[in-house]
Amino acid sequence: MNCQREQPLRGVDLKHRLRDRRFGEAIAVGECKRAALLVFVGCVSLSVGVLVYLADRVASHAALIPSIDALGGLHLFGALGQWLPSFVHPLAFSLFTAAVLKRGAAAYGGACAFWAAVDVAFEVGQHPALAATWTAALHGELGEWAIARATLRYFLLGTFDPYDVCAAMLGALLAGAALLFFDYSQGGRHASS
Amino acid sequence: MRRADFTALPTAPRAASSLAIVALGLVGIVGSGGGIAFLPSDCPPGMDCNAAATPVPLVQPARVTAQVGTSVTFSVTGLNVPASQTTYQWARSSDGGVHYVDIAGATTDTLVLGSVNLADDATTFRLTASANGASGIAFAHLAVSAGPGLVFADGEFPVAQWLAAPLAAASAAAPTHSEERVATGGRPGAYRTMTFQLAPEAAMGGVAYTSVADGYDPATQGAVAFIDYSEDGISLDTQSSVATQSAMLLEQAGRKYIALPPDAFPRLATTWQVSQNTPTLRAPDFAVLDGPPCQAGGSCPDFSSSGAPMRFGYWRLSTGLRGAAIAHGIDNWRVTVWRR
Repeated sequence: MNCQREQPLRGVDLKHRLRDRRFGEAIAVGECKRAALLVFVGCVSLSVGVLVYLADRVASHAALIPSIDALGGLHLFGALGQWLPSFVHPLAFSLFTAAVLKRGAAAYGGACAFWAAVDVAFEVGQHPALAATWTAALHGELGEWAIARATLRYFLLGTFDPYDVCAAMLGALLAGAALLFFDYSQGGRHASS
Repeated sequence: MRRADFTALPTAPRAASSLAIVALGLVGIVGSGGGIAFLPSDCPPGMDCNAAATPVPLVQPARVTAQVGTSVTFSVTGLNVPASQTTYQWARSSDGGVHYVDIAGATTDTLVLGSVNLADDATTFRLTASANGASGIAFAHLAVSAGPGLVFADGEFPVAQWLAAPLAAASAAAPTHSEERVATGGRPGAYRTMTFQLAPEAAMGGVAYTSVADGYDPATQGAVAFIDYSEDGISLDTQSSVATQSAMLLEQAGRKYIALPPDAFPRLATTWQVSQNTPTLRAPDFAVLDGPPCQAGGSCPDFSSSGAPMRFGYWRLSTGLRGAAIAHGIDNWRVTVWRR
């Protein structure tokens, strides 16, 4: 997709404009920019979450995050660092998902609700009341599957925190609000599906 | 150069991109470690984060029957905290778990009883595993018999050895059924398949199978202390809408009883597995499945030496869509009767 040239749009009848190839190209360019912006904002958010692990936590405890000595122990985020990763994950992934979906409040709502549900479910799964269930599963058939084993270990070793549940929901809400605002601010220039 | 029209992006690439993002997101969650326990920065104010690391021990065997003079070993087979951080204490109860007394020196993950005797019968052992200021417990039950168990087993399933009695479930009609001995493919060798054709209006159907090869007569062979039961089972249907459960069957004085497992009736898997392994079944562990109701104050079933002759078997209950045909198999059916 070529994102270099954006065609100026002028106020003529929308139906005619939609038949116009140049107008289609303009929408393509606009969509491309929109997707790139959403991915960029999502990446920035996600980077903040990773920085929490690098600066405020023992990064080696997170399987996918390497430890960087220069950042270790900086405690950049203070109390906020306790819940920031739970906040930025649904925020970032709601934006990523919206970037590949068609425009529209329904799609945005679906993406944000999905990631809120996923993050909340994974947080609730860490509740000590479920530990016996996960332990039994870990020693049953499920424990023979690497992915299931990793997930069960996540549930068993993770720390349930009701504030994380709130943070996840807030993250998804903020993503939804940002997406709607973004669409609103672009409304004068691009047709919304 | 042809431009991509994002608004007309086909559904398939959108779906693929969405799935890739979902996969990345899930990997990100699991890979983050979930705020591994014991990290001060992950512990919200006012919460005891160490509580999340409560040990949850599993002990095997959870129930065991042994003959006087033999050795019994209980071991920890699962724990959700590192074993190196864990301390253990075994305790025993002779009053059904009301009071426990710590066993001196029993502070490892294994409890070995060198030579059990009748005083150990009906003993409950409790393991307390402690780590990081928190504790978890698990239980194991021991039954001891003076003599060897009397074994009734079938791994070959000759057709003539078994009687089948379809039973109506709830208000639904009983299923029609067919059985077949299959020479190979069991665990190992021969096994038996059963196919239930549910009635058109029924979403479940059960059949009681009774072995007519042997029986047990408490009057001549002695009062029953308890019964061990095990079988291997397989579901021959792969649809998720189908489930088959199994239990030991006991027939006595015109009544059919099923053994109630300690937890829920397990559902047969689509590969061969030990579908039932229930030791130390006593009379109260059985429930009337069919036949006249038990009289008040009566022993149902009656394990005493005045009890009527017994026959053993198994019971299968299948659930699925109305009118469905549901197939399953059994191998290594085994009943062990332990006498007083």
